[in-house]
This record gives sequence, structure tokens and C-alpha cells, in this order.
Amino acid sequence: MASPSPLAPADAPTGGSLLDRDWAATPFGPRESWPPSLAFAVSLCLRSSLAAALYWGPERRLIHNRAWSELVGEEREVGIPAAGSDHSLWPLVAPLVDEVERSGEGAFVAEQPLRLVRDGIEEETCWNCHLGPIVDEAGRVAGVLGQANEVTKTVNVERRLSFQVRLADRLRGIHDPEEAKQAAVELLGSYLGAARVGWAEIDEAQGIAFVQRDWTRDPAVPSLAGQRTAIAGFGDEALALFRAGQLLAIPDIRQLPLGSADRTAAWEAAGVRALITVPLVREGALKALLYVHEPTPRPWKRSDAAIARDVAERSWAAVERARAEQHQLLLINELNHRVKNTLASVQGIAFQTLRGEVSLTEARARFEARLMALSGAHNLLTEENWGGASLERVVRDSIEHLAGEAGRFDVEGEPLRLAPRAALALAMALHELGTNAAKYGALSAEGGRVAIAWTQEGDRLSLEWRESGGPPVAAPARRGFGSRLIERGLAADLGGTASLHFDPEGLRCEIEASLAAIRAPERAVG
Amino acid sequence: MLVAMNIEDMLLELGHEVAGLASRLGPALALAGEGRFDAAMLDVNLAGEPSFPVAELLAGRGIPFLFATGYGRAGIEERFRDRPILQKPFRAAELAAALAALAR
Repeated sequence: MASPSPLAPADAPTGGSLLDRDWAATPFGPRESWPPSLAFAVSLCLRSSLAAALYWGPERRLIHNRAWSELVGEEREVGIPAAGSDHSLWPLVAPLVDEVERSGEGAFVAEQPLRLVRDGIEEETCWNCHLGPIVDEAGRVAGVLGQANEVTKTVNVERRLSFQVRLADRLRGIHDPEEAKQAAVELLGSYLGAARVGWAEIDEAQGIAFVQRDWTRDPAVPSLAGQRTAIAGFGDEALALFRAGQLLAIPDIRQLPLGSADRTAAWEAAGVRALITVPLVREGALKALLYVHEPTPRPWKRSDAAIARDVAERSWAAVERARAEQHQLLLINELNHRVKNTLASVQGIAFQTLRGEVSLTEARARFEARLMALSGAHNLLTEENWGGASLERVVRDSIEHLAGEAGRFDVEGEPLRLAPRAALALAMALHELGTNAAKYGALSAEGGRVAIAWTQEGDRLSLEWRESGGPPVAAPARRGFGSRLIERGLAADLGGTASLHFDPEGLRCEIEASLAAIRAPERAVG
Repeated sequence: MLVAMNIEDMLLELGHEVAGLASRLGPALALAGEGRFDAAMLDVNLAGEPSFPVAELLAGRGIPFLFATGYGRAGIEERFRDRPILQKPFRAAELAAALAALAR
């Protein structure tokens, strides 16, 4: 074989420097003495663009190229038996080399995981390896050439994609916000092999972070579930980052403290030495933090932080969707309940109107009038989205049907917002009183008047309906629907009393109610 | 109140007596704790508050009860779902059958 020249021959563009050595000093002897099979195999190995190693002869004497020495971390002596070379790959490769020698067929290993220390950082890598037989002049397998191609990036991208699909599949089937949070931290925890992963919801007004549940790798890792901590503990710097939506990844809080020295010590006591914290900011407010904790230092990879952010965003979207669904379900249930109650009220009106001695024409008119009164009260409540209604509006709307009589009412009282139930009850009662006044009471006579006045004192509301100027009043022989509705039903609904007084100068209705029972709840501040 | 009055009338027509009526949780609890009666009927929603504490009290006293609700069975707490439920609105005949079942 021609000796190497400074100008490498056309057939030897690379690997030259490795080929160009004092082979006589190695167990392989001078190149001139090599059989063509060895010369071919060595050339193939040293010129390979992949990490390549040749195992030659029964002793599996090792020759490798530069890429291979980068793979195992350092060079090995040329010609040293592989079994004695103490390189991390050999235990994996040895059985394959034996197999290739025995069968004379090549072997392929896909995505072989390998923990490597490169640039001082230990990492999980993946390799595709091919081992091929080198057949000598006698037709025997004299050596095995191994070539390995790193596929760590591809494998990681696939892993990440399949993780995202798994996450999306899990989240899609979940309709409970807490369950969505838990599914996300479980998946992220096992993906990262982290000690503890969880969600802390932030209440900025209270300055509190609250952990409902979290995920831990094993029972030895303490859970933070149920913990309520002051967000000031993160320190101003970290909080400012979080509020700006920036993620924090700390490999070792002793090197990069979180908050004051005391705080950092407290974090460490809580099992936090390394962390990734992803903030969730919605409409300018910090809503939640997704945390990943390790009790020992961990040099986070860029991809760890990226996947944590991805999980935070996706799962929070699922949490918000689940919350909206729950809210919608609540509204539908509430509506259903309201409809059923209204139907039951209509049933009550029908039942009460159609009983006793009453002509069909009269019953139809009364039924319709009562239905309209109920409907009017509903309209009033709907205007305010069923939050409540003003007492004065309830009063004025209830007497509106007495067309042309508006000038005969004196209405006076302080403003008060009634709860829906009280508003409905009062509207129905006032309707009965008004109808009665128009038929038999003050409004049936020229110049008759009705005064409606209310006052509030302490927890009590006193409302009075007083008729005057009508025909002389006598107590009726039999109590009708209106009387019962007022004296029993209204009293119960208002949490108070209601009484009818048949004074000769005019009918009087006195209503006493507890403000706590009838006042509309404060409107929620959006 | 129309509903309560109507039920009261139904009960009277069925030959029962009405021992008491409460439309809010506080009075309902007082009634359930001390009242003397053979059976109770609970609206699930008492002026915005669920009536399950009343149900618990009644169950403790061994007094049979049934629910009347517009929410459906799903609106009843798990532990009380085996109790009879009347869906509002209901007819006198349905009420009679439910009460007869309670008495058994």
C-alpha cells in the first residue's frame, strides 16, 4: 500500500491522520503486512462519517474513528482487546458482535438509549447502530465493523409529540377542572421524571398561593396539597417575572436563591433544590403557577422548560373549558328548576282559580289575569337577569293592570331591592288586592283611593295597603284565594306576617317582613 | 307560595293534616328538629339554600320524607338519592302514591 503523502490521494480524503500512524507499534503490525480485508475494514472505519469501531480477530482488537471517541468520551489505545478497554458501549455491543460473527449477517439496533457525559453534563442519548461482518480472504468473519448514528433529537421530538398527543387525549375527556389539573401534572411528572409537579392557584388580592392537589414521584416525596402560602415568599424578583408571564428554571437554588436566605432555606426544607415554575397570566393578572420540583440539583434542559410551558398552557385551557362547562350546566339546571317552579305556580293558579262555585267565563278571566300578573313579575325579574327587582317597580307594575286608576294610588317608600322570590310573592299578592279593590273596594266607588306605603326599620320592612273612600266594608263570610294567598303564602315567603283588616272605612293589609329574607343579594362584582 | 298552598290543598283533600310549613332553611330546621308529624315533604331549594341539612335531621329522627324538586334526581345529594322524589309539577294522585309508599 502506498505510503500517505502530505497531499492526500483522491481515494483518501478523510481519516488520513488516523490512518497515518506507526502501525508497526500496534498489534496489527505494519500496514504492508495487512491482508486486503483488514486494510479495507480499517479504511472504512476510519473514514466513516458515523461513529465507527472495528472489532478485529478473536480478541476483538479495537480500532475506532474520532466520532466514536467523542461518543464514549475519550480515545482508546489502538488494538487493545475490546473486553479490556473499559468502554461503556462494550457490554451492549459484545453479544451483537458474537452474533454477527456466528451468523455472518449484519445486525441493526434502533434507538438504543445511552447515558453519556458530554461537556461535563450527563444526558440521555439515543443511537441507531449497525454491526456488519468483515469477511476475510478465507471466507470467514474476521472482524465486525460497528457504526452508530445519534438520533437523540429525532427520538426526543417524537417523544414530545407523542406526549402532546397523550396529553391532548387525556384532557379532551375531562370535564372537571381539578381533574384536568391533576391529569396534566401526572403526565408531566412522569415525562420529566420529576419529584413533584403541581398547580398553585394565585389569589393576588389576598397575596396567597393555594395548592389543591399535586403529583409526587413516590410516597417519600412530600405533597404540597392543601398548602396556602404567601406569594411574597417567591421574592420580588421572581414575582415580577411571573407577573410578566416569564418562566423560571433554577438548576440549584443554592446557586440562584429564591427570595431571601431564610426563604431559600425554607424552600429547600420543603424539598425544593431545583425547580421550574411556569406562570399563567390571564387578562393581565397572575392566575396560577405550574411547578416542577426536585430535591436535588438538576441541570434543566431547554426542552424541559419548553414542555412545562406547553403543558401549563394546554392544561389551563382545559381547566378554563371545564369551568365554563360547569358554569353552563349550573345555568341550565337553574333554568330548568325555574321553569318547573313556574309550571308548578301555574298549576297552583289553575287549581285555586277553578275550585268552588265559579262560572267558566269568570274563571277564565281570573285565571288569565293571574297568569298575566305572574308573567309581569317574571318580565321585571328578567330585566335584571333574575338578580332582584325594585320594590317600587313591583308595586307600580302590579297596579298597572287597573288601567285608568293610576291617579288613585298614593305610593310611597324608601328604595329597596327585593330578592326574586319575594318580588314574585308580593306581585301576586298586590294583584289580588288590586283586583279586589276594583271589584268591591275603594276603586269600585267614585273618589275612592288606595295608599301603599312602606318603611324600613332595623331588620323589618312594614308595608301597608290602605283603602279609603269606598263603600262600607264588611268582613267576608268566606276567605277566598286572595285572602289565603296573602295571609298564608305571602307571609311564609316573606319570612314574616301578613294580615287583612276589614275596617268599615276601607280594607287594610299589613305586611311585616324580615329584610334579611327579602332583600336581593348584592350583585357579584365581575 | 302558590306551589306550597296548592300542595297544602292537595294534602287536605287526600285526608292529611298539614303540621307546618317553612319556606326558608332556618324555620325548616326548627320544624324538622322539634315538630311532631308523620312524614315530611322537602323542596330541594329553600329560598336559594339546599334543604339537605333538613333531610339529614329528619333521617336522624327516623321520620320518612320525600323530595319535591324542579332539578331532577341529579340535583339530589348522592346519599339521599334512594329517597322518593316528586318532579314539579306533580298531580295529587302522584303525591298520594308517594305518601302511601312512605307509610309502608
